[in-house]
Amino acid sequence: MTTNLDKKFNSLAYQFHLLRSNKLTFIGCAFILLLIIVALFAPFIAPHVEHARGGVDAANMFQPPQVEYPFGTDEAGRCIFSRVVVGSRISLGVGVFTIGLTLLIGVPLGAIAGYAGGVIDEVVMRITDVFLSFPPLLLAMAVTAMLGPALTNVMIAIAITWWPWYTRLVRGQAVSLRERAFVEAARAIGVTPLKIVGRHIIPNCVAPIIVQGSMDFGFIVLTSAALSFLGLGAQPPMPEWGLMVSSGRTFFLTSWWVVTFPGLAIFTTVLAFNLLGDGLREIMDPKTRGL
Amino acid sequence: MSTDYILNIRGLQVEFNTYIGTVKAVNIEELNMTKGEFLGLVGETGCGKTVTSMAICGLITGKGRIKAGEIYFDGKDLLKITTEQADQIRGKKIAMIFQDPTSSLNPVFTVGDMITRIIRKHKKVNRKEATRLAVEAFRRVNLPTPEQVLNQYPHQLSGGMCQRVMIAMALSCDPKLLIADEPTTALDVTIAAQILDLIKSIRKEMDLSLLLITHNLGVVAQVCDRVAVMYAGNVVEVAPTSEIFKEPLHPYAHGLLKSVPKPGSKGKKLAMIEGMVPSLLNPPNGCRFHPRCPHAREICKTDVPPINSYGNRRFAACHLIPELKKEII
Amino acid sequence: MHCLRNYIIRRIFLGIIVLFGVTVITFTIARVVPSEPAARWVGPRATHEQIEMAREHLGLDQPLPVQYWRYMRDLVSGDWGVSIRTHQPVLRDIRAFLPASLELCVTGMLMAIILGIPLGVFSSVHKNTFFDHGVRVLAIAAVSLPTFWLGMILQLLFFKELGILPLSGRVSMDVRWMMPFESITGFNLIDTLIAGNFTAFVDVSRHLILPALTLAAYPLGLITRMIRSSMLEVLGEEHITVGKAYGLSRRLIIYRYALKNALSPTLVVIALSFAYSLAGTFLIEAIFSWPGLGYYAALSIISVDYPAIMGVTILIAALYVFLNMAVDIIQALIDPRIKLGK
Repeated sequence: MTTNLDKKFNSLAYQFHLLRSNKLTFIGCAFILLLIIVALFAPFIAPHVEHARGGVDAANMFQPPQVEYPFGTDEAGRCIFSRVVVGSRISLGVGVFTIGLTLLIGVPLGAIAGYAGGVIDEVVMRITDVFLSFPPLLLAMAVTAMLGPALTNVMIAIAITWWPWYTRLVRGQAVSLRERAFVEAARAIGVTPLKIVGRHIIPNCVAPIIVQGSMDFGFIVLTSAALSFLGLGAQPPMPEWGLMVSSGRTFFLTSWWVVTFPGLAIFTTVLAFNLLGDGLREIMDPKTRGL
Repeated sequence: MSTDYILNIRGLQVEFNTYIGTVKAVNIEELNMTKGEFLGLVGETGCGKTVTSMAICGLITGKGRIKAGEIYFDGKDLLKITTEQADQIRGKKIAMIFQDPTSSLNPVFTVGDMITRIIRKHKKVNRKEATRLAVEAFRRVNLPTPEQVLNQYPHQLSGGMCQRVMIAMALSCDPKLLIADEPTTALDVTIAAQILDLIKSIRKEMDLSLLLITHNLGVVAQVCDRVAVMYAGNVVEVAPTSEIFKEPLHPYAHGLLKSVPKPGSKGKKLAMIEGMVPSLLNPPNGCRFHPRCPHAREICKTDVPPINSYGNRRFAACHLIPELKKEII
Repeated sequence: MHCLRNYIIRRIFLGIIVLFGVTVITFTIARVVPSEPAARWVGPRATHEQIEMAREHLGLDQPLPVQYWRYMRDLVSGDWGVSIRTHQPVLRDIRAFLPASLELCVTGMLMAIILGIPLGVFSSVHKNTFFDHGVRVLAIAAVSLPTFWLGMILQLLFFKELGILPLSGRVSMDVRWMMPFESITGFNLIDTLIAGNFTAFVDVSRHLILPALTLAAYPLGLITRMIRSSMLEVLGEEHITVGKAYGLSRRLIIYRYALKNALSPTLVVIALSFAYSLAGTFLIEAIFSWPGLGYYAALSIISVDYPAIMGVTILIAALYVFLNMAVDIIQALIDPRIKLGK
């Protein structure tokens, strides 16, 4: 029987209050919203959109930040501000796609392993162990090197690197859920195992997946930028932030803006997602709430 | 007045600030203990007994604060002393044992570690002497092979043994007041009985006062001289054990004692007190028990009941006792 | 004690199995790369027969499982193959480049630990104060920094603007030419001290600062956060209240009783970030022209030098596995509950 007190604590209003009272998380959230808006309306925000799509303006190379070019121009005379703005689409897209792929691989695998138990469970767990014993960056690099340098390959590579975390997470939940009464009841009625996994087990894992996912989003953006920096990901003339830092490397001592602003974009994006993820984790975990 | 009492609580109000409001957890007009007395503090879960004990030991932290009141211990008001003075008293003159003995001990250190440190701090002796005293303390609580126990970890000991360790730790510096918060609740019946016997035997040896907090009336009947009944943050009745069991004056105390099943009552419906414990965010006006009291009158809803004396250090907070006395007997 | 020994043995066994899996994966990846290693071995103007001979010489004409078996056999006996690019034994190449990376990683990790643990503890004890909020923001920011960008920003700041630290490399030109020191261990800090060459020591230290700082950022953030949250959790546990109830000093309660409990999960984080930074030296070595394993690996990847790639990958993965194992074992030693198989 839930009392009035329980209802108050579980209400959305309370969750929102927590979110609001944690100013950092709120800032992170706000920034992400800003980012989404920028990404959606990029062509209208960027003053020199053509620069983001391959246009060059050799006459205006290495202009320092000024009114015409808020972030300055790079070695091909392109407006860095415009490229950063359009690049937000790439970064967000990469993040979403990669997480989607990772979840697609990792979640069902974990749910099946956890629910089935026995040999299947053991095998899947050993495989995850092996994958997890690789330093993530290294594995991603290896896969990208194998598949060839391209942004899509980077996303696949990161998904291949990252799925074990979600498998572990979901598997843990599945193991504890499979003994619960409602699962046994479903079994007794004769619901097929696949349906049980899909209908009962996976939906109950949504909360930790969301928390983990929001924390990982930042890491994914960071890794794909790092891989692009190494030349394994986005190829010129894509306005991908990591690639921009890499191409600017040769000149950054004389033209600091070429490297600083794209990198700043990466930093603030990752920061925002990490703040959000951190805040979500605090909300979901009553221990750290500190009433 | 205060010299006779080892503990004298007056006008204590403790509150907790939460998201949804201020919880008025404790509101005690007066509660006192004489030297060498075993006082039981009973009540339902959430009635404020643990908060009271925490207030005495100065352990109210976080969102809780002591809004008003005085707690006189051995003549000094505990709420007005400095942290250093408090550190001197805690563990040395006032000792506390908690409900779950296994989680009261640090899992990554041996059980001997904390007790030797406590002894070293309060008795100002060196490590060897402290170890010796610790072994003695363990022996006093009937722990077998005390030297070995000293080097064991909490998870290697049973619940009963852990509780004995806690008691040994509490008694190691010869405190004047021992506060035991549900010492037997986490233990099974036979072990609990042993612990209670231990507590009773200690009384003979040491000049100790005990504040025993529990919701178990059976424990109170065995061990305590006097009983204080709490409800919703108030002390509603205080009386010598024999008298309260024979003839509880306050309606709540009455209901509480009646609801304990007795042998021979098989087949009869369990007596209970109607209603539920009120939310302490907005306690009822007047007497906090009035919504559930079968005898409630108009005055109960508006006026806080006075605390009247009914003989031999016996007090109750109710408007209607003189009338009820005729009805109950 | 039996349980502890069994636990360790079990852990090592598991580690070996995992390592095997790692070698299989790496081997498969390296072999699947569509390029012609034999041609690279011989050089750009090779004839067809020379390439064929090279293939035979390198054993590339055998079926894959046989190649794998041969490779593993050689690996275990100490023969890690010969680099296609440098024509040197891979193991010797690795031994030449490893110390630079290790020096970098160890220094960076030490910085992170020495700064991170006190920050985290202090932050947890003064929860919700201005300082605490500041530390939390710092920690999250540290974890969000792109390594390569941080390195460059530091270079801009300390080299270009302030001019107090060198741009790149391990040692300055002048020191290298005029006051050379013998490279005994490969760790410049140690070697300069052994040689008694104080000027070189200072120079080498100055070169180490920025790269180590860049490397330290991510672990610093992780460690600070982990210690803080562990401490908060422990400080809420009952035995801490008991300690307070007995008047024990705050310092004792926090730094001995609480911290020891909080260190266990933090150790995991430390080991993981050490392994992570070992792999991440890539980026730092690229920025600071640091001649370490990452530099060697980068060259190997570009020239598709598969024995070298295999060698580096297996080494790093093995270190990773080893570190994880060490952490489990150390945890068992610290936390008596695990030791006796709770």
